[in-house]
Amino acid sequence: MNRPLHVKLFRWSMSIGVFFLLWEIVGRSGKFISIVPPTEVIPELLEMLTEGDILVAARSTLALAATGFVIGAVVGVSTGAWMAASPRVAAVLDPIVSASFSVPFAIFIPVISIYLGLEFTAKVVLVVLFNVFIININTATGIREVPAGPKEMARSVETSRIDMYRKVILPWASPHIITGLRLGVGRSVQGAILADLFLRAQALGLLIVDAQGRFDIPRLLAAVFFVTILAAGVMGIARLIEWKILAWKRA
Amino acid sequence: MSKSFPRQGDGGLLRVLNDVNITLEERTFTCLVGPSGCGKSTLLRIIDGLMAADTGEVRIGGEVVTSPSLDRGFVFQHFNLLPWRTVQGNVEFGLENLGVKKDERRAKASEIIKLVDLEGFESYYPGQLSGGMQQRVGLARALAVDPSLLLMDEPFGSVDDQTRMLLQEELLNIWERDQKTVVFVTHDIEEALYLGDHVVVMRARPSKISRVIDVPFGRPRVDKVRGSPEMARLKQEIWDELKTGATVEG
Amino acid sequence: MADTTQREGLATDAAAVLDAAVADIPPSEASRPPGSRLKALFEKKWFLRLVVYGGILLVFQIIAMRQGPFFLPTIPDILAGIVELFAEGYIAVMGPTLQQLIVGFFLAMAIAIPLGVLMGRYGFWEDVLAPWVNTIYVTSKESLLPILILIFGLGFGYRVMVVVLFAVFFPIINTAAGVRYVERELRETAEAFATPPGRMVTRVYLPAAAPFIVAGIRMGLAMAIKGMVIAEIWVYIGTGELLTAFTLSPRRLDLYYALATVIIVVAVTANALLKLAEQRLRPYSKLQRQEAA
Repeated sequence: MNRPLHVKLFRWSMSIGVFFLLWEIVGRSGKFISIVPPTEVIPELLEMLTEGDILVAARSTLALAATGFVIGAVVGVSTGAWMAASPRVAAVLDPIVSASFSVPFAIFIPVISIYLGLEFTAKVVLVVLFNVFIININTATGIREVPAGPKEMARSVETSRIDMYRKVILPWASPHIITGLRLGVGRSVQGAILADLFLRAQALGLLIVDAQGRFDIPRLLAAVFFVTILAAGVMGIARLIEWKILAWKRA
Repeated sequence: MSKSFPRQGDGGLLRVLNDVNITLEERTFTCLVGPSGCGKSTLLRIIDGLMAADTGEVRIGGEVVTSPSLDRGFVFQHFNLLPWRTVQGNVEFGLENLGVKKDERRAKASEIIKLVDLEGFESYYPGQLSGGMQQRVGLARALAVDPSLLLMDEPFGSVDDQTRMLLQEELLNIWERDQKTVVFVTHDIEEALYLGDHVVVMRARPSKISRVIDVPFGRPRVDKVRGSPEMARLKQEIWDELKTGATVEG
Repeated sequence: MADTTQREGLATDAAAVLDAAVADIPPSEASRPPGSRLKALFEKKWFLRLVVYGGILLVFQIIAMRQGPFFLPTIPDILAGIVELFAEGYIAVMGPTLQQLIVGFFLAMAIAIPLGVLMGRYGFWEDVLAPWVNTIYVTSKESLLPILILIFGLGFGYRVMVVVLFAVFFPIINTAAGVRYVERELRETAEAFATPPGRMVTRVYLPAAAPFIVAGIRMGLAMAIKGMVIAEIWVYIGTGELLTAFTLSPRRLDLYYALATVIIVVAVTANALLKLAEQRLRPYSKLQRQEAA
């Protein structure tokens, strides 16, 4: 069932190639006014890159994502660990965590601005709302799933509670926690883009909104394309880092 | 100095041990044999202080046991090694809690590693070791803190037959050195007779001590003992004992 | 590798939440002889939640009363707001919104599940579709809204397609995982017993993959609702418009919170119903979830 890498690469490139081909054909046919072929979009993108605005914008949005990620990571890991250690805390916080999966947080966007403004603080809060739950759940699950054996062993040699966490529980749970953090990175980027689009158009969001307003379609498509590639790129890097950190597990 | 344990242990809603009374002499090798569910593993944990008995108590040298101590070493059936630590790191685990300094730790650990015949494997990870080797690490870890009591919970239950017999021999060699007090839980009757000075036979439902058999074979044990008629007779005796226990509740 | 880690995340999403919500405080804690009746009460989940959430509502109410309705509406105000939503007919705006949601959701399932089956069953389709599924899954789907507007305008089509865009990924990934599981574990066995192809689908594939598929559908629904709300907020129509309008002038936060509450109730109820369906399949699904993770 497993195909060799070169076969996969071939199919990936074919798939992407076909897509661009179709895009080109549809764009040129003029059937949909709004679809501009890649031969016009790519040069536009290159121009934007050389101009530099888009890179500055990317840096700004990514900085927002990073800030939200760090805060979400701290909150998520600590609450996750706390919930795993104390069934009572878990009992209280579980409904919120469960709700986060079915409740569309988007409904709070209109009201966030009232309480937190439209600037950085509000945006960071939005990013944290995006990433904190997935980090929390992965941490809690990771810690809960540490098997009883190693913990019993540690108890048999008089390991203190702190050492138990430091030497046994957290190392054992770390793959799960790190996976959670990786997922959190993706969510943070998504949240930051959302914030820069919906709360107050800034940075990458502003580029998109601005192009939309001016009906500059090549620019709009180029911006969206760039954002998509950027997000995928960040996730790819995160996965690589995760892979490296978890190397010992494969030993 | 003797160890006495009169007690009754309860595994949650299921009564695991009922009215168990037993006294052990120090520096003896005692084996606990019994069917699954007879509570022998629970009993071992109560002795160590990992679990608490509902009624009764465990007394070692006159003092009551309330929690685990570095004076008692425990060897687990499933090894319970930390996969991210090397052999050296795992063996040193208990030593770290003794407050022993790093160099001393390293030296002591190396000494024990040599003792269990794992010299040269210090920087290997558990994942790279066979089952038999992993259990030797577990044994080394327990021995490294130099406990006066060694508790072993079916330590050779997770390895294959041939490895098991080798490990039994090695264990005896190590034990001969300073003859710690050992309580060894197993479901293998021959293993119990080969290793122990006394064999405590337990029954299930209700869990209790059925008999204590004094093993007549001399020390040091010779491999020939395994095939001796004496061994066969004792095995049959114990097996009969266990069977009558089993048929009581059908 | 991509799908494994994603499945990890998804299995963690669905499974962990399910477990966390269903598991009770361990009996050892609960059956400990209580020092006093009061202490035992603190072990009960419903009591703890009552105290904490009740406390939060109380604080909410106090702040609302002190700061005034321009900042925060009181709880009676919100309840009255709910009544007003219905009485004044504001709630009618949810009609078309829900309509789009349902159409979009079913359309998404109709697309996602077959695609998932293809991807799980045939390596070829997985390779071909993977770049798209994986890339768009991780990117900000909201950033794609302007493109959808370009293609579909601002009407019904746009709103349906946004729902589809959001809803389609979890079912694809989960269905593919489920089918892959069947392929790996059960296919050989069924073939060894010479199962005819029709029965293969009904007796082997579907029951075995069902827990995965249902989990995917449930998460797909949650995402569909999210997409629906976002689509409307972005272009200021429908329910989204209403939500936003209530926070502007004239500011009616009581109506805003009322409407938000209604939406939350709808979302949670829909999710709970699907969770029930998923739990019906639970007895043998634990094994599958471990597979997925």
